[in-house]
Amino acid sequence: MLQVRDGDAAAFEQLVRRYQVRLVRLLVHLAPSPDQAEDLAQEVFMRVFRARERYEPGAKFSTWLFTIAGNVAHNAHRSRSRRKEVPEADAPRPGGEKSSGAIESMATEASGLMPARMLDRRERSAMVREAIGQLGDRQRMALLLNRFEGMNYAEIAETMGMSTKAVKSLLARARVHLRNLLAPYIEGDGAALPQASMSSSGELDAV
Amino acid sequence: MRGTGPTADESRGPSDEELVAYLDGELEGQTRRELEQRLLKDDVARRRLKELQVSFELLGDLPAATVDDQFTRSTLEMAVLNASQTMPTWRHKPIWRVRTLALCAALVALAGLGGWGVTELNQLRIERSQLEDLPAAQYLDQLRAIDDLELVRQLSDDLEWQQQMALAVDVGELQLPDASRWLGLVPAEERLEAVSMFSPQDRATLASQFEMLTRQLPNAERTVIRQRARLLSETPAEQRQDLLRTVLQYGTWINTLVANDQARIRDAKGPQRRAVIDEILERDRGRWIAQYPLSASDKSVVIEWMLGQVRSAISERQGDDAQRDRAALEQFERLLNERNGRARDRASRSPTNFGAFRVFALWMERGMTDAAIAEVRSRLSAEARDKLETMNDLEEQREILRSWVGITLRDRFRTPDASQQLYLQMDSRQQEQLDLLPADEFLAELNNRAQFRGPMGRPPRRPPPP
Repeated sequence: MLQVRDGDAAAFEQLVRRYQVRLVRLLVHLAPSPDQAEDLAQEVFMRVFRARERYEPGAKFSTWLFTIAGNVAHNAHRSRSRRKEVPEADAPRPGGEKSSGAIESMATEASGLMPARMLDRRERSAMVREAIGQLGDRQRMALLLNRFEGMNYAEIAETMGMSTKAVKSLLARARVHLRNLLAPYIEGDGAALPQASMSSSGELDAV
Repeated sequence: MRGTGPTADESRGPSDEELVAYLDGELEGQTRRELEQRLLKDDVARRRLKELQVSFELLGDLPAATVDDQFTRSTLEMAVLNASQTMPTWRHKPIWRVRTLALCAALVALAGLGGWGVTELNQLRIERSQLEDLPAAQYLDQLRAIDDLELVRQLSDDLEWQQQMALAVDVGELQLPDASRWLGLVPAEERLEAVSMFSPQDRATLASQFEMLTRQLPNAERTVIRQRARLLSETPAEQRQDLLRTVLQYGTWINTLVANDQARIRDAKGPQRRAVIDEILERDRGRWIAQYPLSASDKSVVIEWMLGQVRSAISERQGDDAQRDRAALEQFERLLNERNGRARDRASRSPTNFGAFRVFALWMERGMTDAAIAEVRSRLSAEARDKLETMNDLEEQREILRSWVGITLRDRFRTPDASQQLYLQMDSRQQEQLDLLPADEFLAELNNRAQFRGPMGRPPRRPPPP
């Protein structure tokens, strides 16, 4: 980023190539609709480009980038919601109350008629996407940064402009909410219906 | 199975916050050890932990995001345009003119960015075996665009195609890489040395494309591109240069087309593809010729020719209008002489150009007879005449001549194109209001209107996210 700030065109291209997939992956879930993800990602890169001269080394570049991404996504939601009341940022999206049921019915449709059937990846993916969509904006952002960017609480806090303590609480709510939403999809012993992501020799055995 | 609310077990056991922090490795010291002890004894807590972990890991089932190269390109183009600042343009004109301005903006911006540093190829830690990939990387964009080498072979023997491409290069529409510097012509062990002779910009481009080829393209596409590069390098020497030149022409040209045209070509097969290519070339030829950079003597020819027609038009007029037009013509000619005779210092440029506007408007009003076209054609240099006569239709020649006069006037008087067009669009009352302004306010007012009002605003931007 320092090279970009100093006017290195090739460095900006490199930066775009390095972060574009990660950014789009995040914005697919943060944008008002997935098909806006690329447009918003371009908007993020443009903001980075326009602000390049003001970039101060110190924080990780990715932290700065995802902060901008969060703002851009937030603005996109705000623009979309101007005609209606904006839900509280941390609250589940409208329809969230019914979401668990919706996912449950998806799970039933997918597996109920054939209990032994292993759900395929596409079906699982649809359910997970639906569940993420039901989280509040801030919960979703924190969760995605945690899962896909591997950010620790301090980095998420910096990205989202919150205290580490608040992030801890936010992530806990997000994870519990996600678990509840995906409950129909997780067997009683905690394993996912299709292929348990966690083996019996996982972290618990080490405890 | 778990419901949506907290259970009694949860309220008695470790908090969700503790469990999640534990899973995230954010619990330390004594708190962590206490939780681990609790988990050893507490089945319910262990189940809750497992559910939290499994649901979190299900996020891994989300499909991976993909981004195509078009996204990268358009992002970089947006940045370049952004760097160039917005350029005034007009929306009611044919799309080719708007594209021309956008292209100019991009070129201006690229020129402005010329001082930027570059990434050196040697930062990429190229393995010796990867030297084989340098030729494919060097012309990556072109090789990606070529999906029918046989068609390219045909084009390399097609005189009309070659002429069209020469025209496109002449007018700056195409900037072709230098085929003689292709690394495929250099033995692998000498390639790095050859690269060291490249300009920093060329090295940066090569580095970026090498990165793209070797690390970002899907395997299947990478294999195809390597095959194309190999086929080219294995072509007999006597045909290779022509074929390579045509690969660069075709690949570069395709990449300048809008997505819709690219798709039409890609979707057409066999002879139909050639027909689509010819159709697009035919359509673009007028645009390219309109941009053809006239020589100084040809510029004088078109201006004198235009003035002759304006003088005739004024001589046929009477009354106040005629008087005003004569004054405008006199001012125009005086400014023209000043520019021809003196250094173009700021002082000589600053007085208003309204004479030029008025004269141009008069000329446009008069129209262009067939005889007038024949007259100017006979006075142009052979080269310019040849370009003009490439258009068979007289109406197309009229359009080209309007463009040549307009561009020449704009260059001569440093007149922003959008301002010129706005003036022409105004009715006579609006023009008169402007004409009456003091000289030093005229252009400022017109530029202001061109930028912020009327049908011609700033160039269309990408719409903001909803």
